[in-house]
Amino acid sequence: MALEKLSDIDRRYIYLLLLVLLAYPVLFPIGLPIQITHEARTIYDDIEAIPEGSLVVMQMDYSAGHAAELGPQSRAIIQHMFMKRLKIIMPCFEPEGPAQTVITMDGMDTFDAVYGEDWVQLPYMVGGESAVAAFASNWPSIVTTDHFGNPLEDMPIMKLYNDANDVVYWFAMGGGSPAGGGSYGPAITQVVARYGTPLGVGALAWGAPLVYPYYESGTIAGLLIGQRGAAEYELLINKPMSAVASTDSISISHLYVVLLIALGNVGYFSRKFRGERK
Amino acid sequence: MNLIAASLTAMILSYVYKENMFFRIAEHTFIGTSSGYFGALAVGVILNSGVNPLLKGKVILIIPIILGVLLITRYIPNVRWMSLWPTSLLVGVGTALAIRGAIRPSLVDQIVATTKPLFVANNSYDSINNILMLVMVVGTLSYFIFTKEHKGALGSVAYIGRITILAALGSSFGNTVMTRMTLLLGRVQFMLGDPAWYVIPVAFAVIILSTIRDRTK
Repeated sequence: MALEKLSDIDRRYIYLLLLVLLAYPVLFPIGLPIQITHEARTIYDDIEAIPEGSLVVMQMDYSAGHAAELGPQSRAIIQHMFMKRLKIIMPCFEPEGPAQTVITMDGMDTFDAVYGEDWVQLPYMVGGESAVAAFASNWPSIVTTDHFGNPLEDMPIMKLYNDANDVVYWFAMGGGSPAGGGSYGPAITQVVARYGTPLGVGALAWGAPLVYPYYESGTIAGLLIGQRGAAEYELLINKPMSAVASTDSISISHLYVVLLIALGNVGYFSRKFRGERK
Repeated sequence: MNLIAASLTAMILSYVYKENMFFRIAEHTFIGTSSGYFGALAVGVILNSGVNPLLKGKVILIIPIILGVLLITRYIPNVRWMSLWPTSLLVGVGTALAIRGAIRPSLVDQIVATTKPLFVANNSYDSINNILMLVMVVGTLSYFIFTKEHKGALGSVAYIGRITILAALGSSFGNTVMTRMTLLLGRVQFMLGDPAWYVIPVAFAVIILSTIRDRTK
């Protein structure tokens, strides 16, 4: 009978224990090892190889719901780009992208990057795939001011950009599937397919099975997956931040989920063997 | 600001315990704020990309603006047909753009990536991977052949496809768990920061009081 009760544990106890398991490593870090994957190292090596002063695009397409995974990723990538003194254009094709960009750029003053010369934040550009295509081919047709209303034509960084051929590396942060508008999908179809610009992708963990085929086929040059990808990149640039601190919690919570699945199955099969299959 | 965010987080998470008034307040606040945000964003986009450049002399923009206005006619029964013009344009341009860009990365490159050499010299790991990939791709494609009953050889190959699809679903589930855990962890980290953690004892006190009240009813 005790085994059968395993599949009927009150969900409130399950959630309470989950919160405790997530919070404990935040307060008392364990320091579980993190292995650097080939996908993350490729991005690091590609950005390391870019000459100083080159133009890169950081497509900031994620919302508050994706910020827990993509926020740390974008912070790590942008820090690396600033360390390499690259010039970053940050377009947004997702409505919440500009707000997330402002949050991400908070605290980047230490790099002495000059706004308008070394980086620029563009506003939300409506149109999904059409907008990405227009931005990649002829940006003045779709955007004339930055996120704060300043004219782009006066900015030195925008004088370097005519079309995607001028961009040495394009990094697209995005939630959702490759087919979704306002994600890395349009960067694949409208930037890589048309201009051949190397593309790095920062994806949510749940989108990994959807984006991996593009990495395996060589369409995508590099790939960061979820918070683990962010943690790997923080270690690669030697700046451990929030993602590295989170990996203990994530690992323990995953073990917890595996344990719950096992317990649920034990309860299910013990009930089945007693002939009370539900 | 952090205290407001922490309070709203605690109110939303209180749903885990049970449906309650605080959860509904936070939920309605979120819906109202989101609607306002996206409404303001839409107005801003129309002004910045359409109306303002038009007023500054970019006369060509009158065409997309008129087409955009015509979309609204779908709500007026007598002239609903007018909304078909901009809809046709949207569908036509969108489809053409998608097809132009998708053929190579989503079709040609994927086929090329699937047809890798089955035996790689001095690399058994790659050899196994490439064989598995071929078998699973063929199996999955066979599973979706509906014009012939899945019996005999086709049935066996389709069965491999079924196993492959289930494995892919398992992989998706695992990754979804990772995303959700990270999302929750982000909130936990925020709630444990200063001054957000002040909300935690208040939330627990409310839950305990609520439990006591329920039991005395």
